[in-house]
Amino acid sequence: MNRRVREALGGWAILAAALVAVAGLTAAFGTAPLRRTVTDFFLIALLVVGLQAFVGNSGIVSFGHAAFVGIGAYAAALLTIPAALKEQALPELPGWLLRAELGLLPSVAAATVTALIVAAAVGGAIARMRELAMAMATLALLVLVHAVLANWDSVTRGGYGIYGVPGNTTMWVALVGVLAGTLIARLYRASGPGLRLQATREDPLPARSVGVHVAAARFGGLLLSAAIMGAGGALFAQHILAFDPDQFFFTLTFTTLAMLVIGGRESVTGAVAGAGLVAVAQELLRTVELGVVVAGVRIPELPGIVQLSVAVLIILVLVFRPAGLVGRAEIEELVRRRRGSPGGTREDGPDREGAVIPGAAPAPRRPTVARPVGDRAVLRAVDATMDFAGLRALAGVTLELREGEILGLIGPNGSGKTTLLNVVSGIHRPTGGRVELGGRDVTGWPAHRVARLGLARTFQNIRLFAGLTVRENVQAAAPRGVGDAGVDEVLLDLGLADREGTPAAALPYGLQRRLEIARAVIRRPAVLLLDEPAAGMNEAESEELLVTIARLREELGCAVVVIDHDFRLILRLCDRVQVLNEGRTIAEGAPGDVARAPAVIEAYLGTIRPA
Amino acid sequence: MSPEELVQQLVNALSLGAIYALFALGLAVVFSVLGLLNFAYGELVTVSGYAMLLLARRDLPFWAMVVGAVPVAIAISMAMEFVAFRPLRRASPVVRLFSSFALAVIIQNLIRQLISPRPQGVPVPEFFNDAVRLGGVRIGVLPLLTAAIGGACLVGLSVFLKRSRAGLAMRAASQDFAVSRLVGVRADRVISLAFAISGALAGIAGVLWVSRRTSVSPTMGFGPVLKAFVATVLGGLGNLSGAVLGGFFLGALEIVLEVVLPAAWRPFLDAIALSIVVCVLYFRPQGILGGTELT
Amino acid sequence: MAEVPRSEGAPLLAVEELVVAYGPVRALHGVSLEVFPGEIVAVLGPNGAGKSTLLKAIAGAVAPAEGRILHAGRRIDGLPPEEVVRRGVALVPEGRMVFPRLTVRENLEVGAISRRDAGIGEDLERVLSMFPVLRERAGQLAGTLSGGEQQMLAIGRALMARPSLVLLDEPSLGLAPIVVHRVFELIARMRQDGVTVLLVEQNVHRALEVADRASVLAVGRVVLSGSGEELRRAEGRLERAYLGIGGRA
Repeated sequence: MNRRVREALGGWAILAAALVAVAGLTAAFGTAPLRRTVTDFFLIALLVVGLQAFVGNSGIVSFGHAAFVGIGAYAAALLTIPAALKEQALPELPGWLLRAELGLLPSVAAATVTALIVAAAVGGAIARMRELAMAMATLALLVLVHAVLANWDSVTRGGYGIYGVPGNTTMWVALVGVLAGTLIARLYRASGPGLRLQATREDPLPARSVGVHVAAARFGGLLLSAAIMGAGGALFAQHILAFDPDQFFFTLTFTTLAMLVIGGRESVTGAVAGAGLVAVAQELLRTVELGVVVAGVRIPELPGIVQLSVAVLIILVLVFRPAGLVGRAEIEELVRRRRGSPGGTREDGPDREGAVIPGAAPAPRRPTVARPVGDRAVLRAVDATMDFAGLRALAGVTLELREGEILGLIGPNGSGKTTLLNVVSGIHRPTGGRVELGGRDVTGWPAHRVARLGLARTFQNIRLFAGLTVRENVQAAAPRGVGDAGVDEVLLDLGLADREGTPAAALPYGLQRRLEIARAVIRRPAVLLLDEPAAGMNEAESEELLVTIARLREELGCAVVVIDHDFRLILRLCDRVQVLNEGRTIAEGAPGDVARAPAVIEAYLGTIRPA
Repeated sequence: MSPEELVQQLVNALSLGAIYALFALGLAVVFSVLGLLNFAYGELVTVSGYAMLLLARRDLPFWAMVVGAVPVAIAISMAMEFVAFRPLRRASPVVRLFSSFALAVIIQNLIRQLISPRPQGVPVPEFFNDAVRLGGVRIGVLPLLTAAIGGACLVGLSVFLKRSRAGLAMRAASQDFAVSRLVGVRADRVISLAFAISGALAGIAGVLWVSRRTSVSPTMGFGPVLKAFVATVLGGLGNLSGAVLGGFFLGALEIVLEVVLPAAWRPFLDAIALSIVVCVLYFRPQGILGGTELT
Repeated sequence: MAEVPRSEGAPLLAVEELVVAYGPVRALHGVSLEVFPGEIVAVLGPNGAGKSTLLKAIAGAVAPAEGRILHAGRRIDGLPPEEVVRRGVALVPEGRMVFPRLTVRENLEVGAISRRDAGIGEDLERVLSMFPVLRERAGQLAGTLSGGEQQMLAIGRALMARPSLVLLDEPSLGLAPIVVHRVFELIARMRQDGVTVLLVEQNVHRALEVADRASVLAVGRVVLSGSGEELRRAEGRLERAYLGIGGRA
């Protein structure tokens, strides 16, 4: 069991204890109506947690999750209502459904599967869209499912609603439901797939370049959360006993989203806290809404004041605490922070002083003592061409990277260096030419497939998963089978071990660059592409970096392409240098020779007379 | 189907399409400048309808109801920007979408509180239900008027964007907001203008929409914003021509379904139309005119 | 360090101890610079030295963390970009950044959006005669122009604001040498028309040909400055600043 999972279990235990305590106190001292209210709360909390699994981890707004609740509720109702009642109310049902009288657990299972089937059917299309289009599509799903439930009279009785569902969901059942839901959501958030989905939330581009198939990750999250919503719907049905399609429409969507946004959408703790807070506020406000008698004067009914107040609260929270009241942290992190334990927390401020990095750099030595470079090409770009709307960024560049080699790629601004990296790493599909990786033709492959074949890269303008911690950044990139030990090793190796709990965005600049390298290295790549790794570093940092890159090449046995403007770094680090200008190769060879080539100097400083 | 029916249905498709196109355009105008998907856009349609209702209660003639409703929608739209979006201008698209969602709920509930939670009838001129003869074909007055007014608005907006300085500034801002500021386009002003246009389109479309349904209700904005969402995504988010195209496509699709679907399936019309749209988007996730790659 | 030749009168632009940071990264560490009316001043230096950041800060596109920027004696730091243009400072951004789906004529018209005076039509005529190729393509979408034509358009668009100071960010970037030549002829001509120019450029030789004075930036600091002539004579030092051979800065 890895550490994230252990921590998630610990955090879940705290939440679970709180929820059990609520149930226990209610059972001991509460009246029947209070018990009902607490059951309501457990069920709505379960739904919010289910919503969190998708919205929180993917960062995509869903207006459609209430539809899955409705599907689960109707499926469970049809399977549990006594046959005699069904024959009377829904005589047109097929025989097997008329006769079905399932118990609690089988009905929940069946509802979950039904919701999953619908999610799988529509999720494929939804997960491929752009973020805001996905939000629209989920809204369409809500309307679509509502239209079906409201009009499919022979099965749902349409707007008349369904009744006679057995009341299997007691407060204790609801408690078990919310405990199971939070456990699943916590485990998912801590798991590899959950972490990779969070990576796409933070920034899809680097997520792709560490092998994440963005649409598949979103699809997975959608399925899991639809399953929780479906199960929640089944429990809900067996709690309220009679309902109609409007109960799974706009109001439920609003309530669950409000709870999630107010509590904090990026953590399960936030979801539960938001559910609790809004539920309590709703109960208090509802007494006003129904009209109360104050000092003998009856305050008139104020319909809608609950929704109105909650909506105002949402806007206030978004303006003043955009991540929600709890924020991004889970409960165990909050507890740890309160105890003031070291190791950094998500609230750490940025550290402007480069910070001494223990264990990072052994005494700088000249690292270019060449290690034998193989003859086999691990990466080849043949005659690569790239056009962007009338601009030719690459005009036929051939690059060959040999086993174990460090190749420097230099050239003035706009010469096509980064475009070349984007073409070989699958970010851009070349307009012409071929790319081979490890002997396979990968031309036009999407970035995540190229990454899975053994190519890793860093980005010119640092693209970390900003809201994730240092450790999570590396872990999200780790290939299958690399456990905690592997992550520890890489963190230690790059001098990031004592910052593992800090969010990437709060790291000082030099360490952010290092973290990008760590994220690439954890993949044990055969080919490592570094795009301006020394940009913005001071001399000491860039010296350290030089040592690190050379050492990594030794340890990993990978071949490296480095782009940088620091000529000294390139000269000392590289076995070979290739110079680009205006999308073409203008020189190539040993570093010293290239630096003296007139064509290179001219490319950098410009011609004196027009050509 | 007889040729006469065909012409009638064509006018129906154009009229419904024109309303949807106005809905979509109003949403897209703000999106193209600000990158904000305004969920509360539907409530501008609602506000326009309720303004008509309140004016009707004062026994004002229909033309006065129309003249009053549109400026109200414009004013509320600009106020929305000031209250709920200006403080969040630097926030992520997700945060702003949540904010607009909350705003929609606020407006719905204010109407519930201040006017009535129940649907209210709005009187419209009786001649809307008449039909005119055009070249031997009887066509409903309202669909004809709707198509004509909708068309005129689209042309008017297009002329405004193409010919006026403010329109030019808006088009520049929608292509590159940062660079437009560098050449002197005032950010606050162009955003206010986008919201004003959005409000105007919602107001006009609202008048046409209410004339069809002859009633208003606090949640009536949900339909329009959904149609607008679907049409803009279908046309390609951020693309104004795409929004118009998406609107007409959706309108035509619904009319076609209305004609071809057997009566028993009619209640599922919306669901079927949405399913078809989702299918289109499966094969073109970026929309019909959207060129941007999926990231 | 070479002696900076004193120009006459008060500076049109004065940058004082400017510090700009992007999050935890400092892009400029206290840069000072003066531009006098009628001058062409070049800012040179390798990639990542902070040249573009300097221009963006002057134009109001990024807010400085410390320091002051004065235009004609009035502070412009902290103003939003749309106000900086109204003070008479126009930026021609790196990579041209014309509005691709506006026509050439509309791109020029939008350049005058900050103005209310009657001379806009006249200026449009003047810019179109300065760039005959733009007149030929006036009705064409800017996105269909070649890189060189887009650069002309971007410069023309900036001139439409009738600025006293034009900031040019890498005008030769990605252009064929013959086109670069024309761009620099144009810069020289702008000075004749009384426009003061602050030029950021990678192409050192070109820049020094037209510039009266130049400053060399490296890693966010001014490491060298002097007249164009002086810097041309100090070519060895320039190459070191650029290629980093034999010590950084």
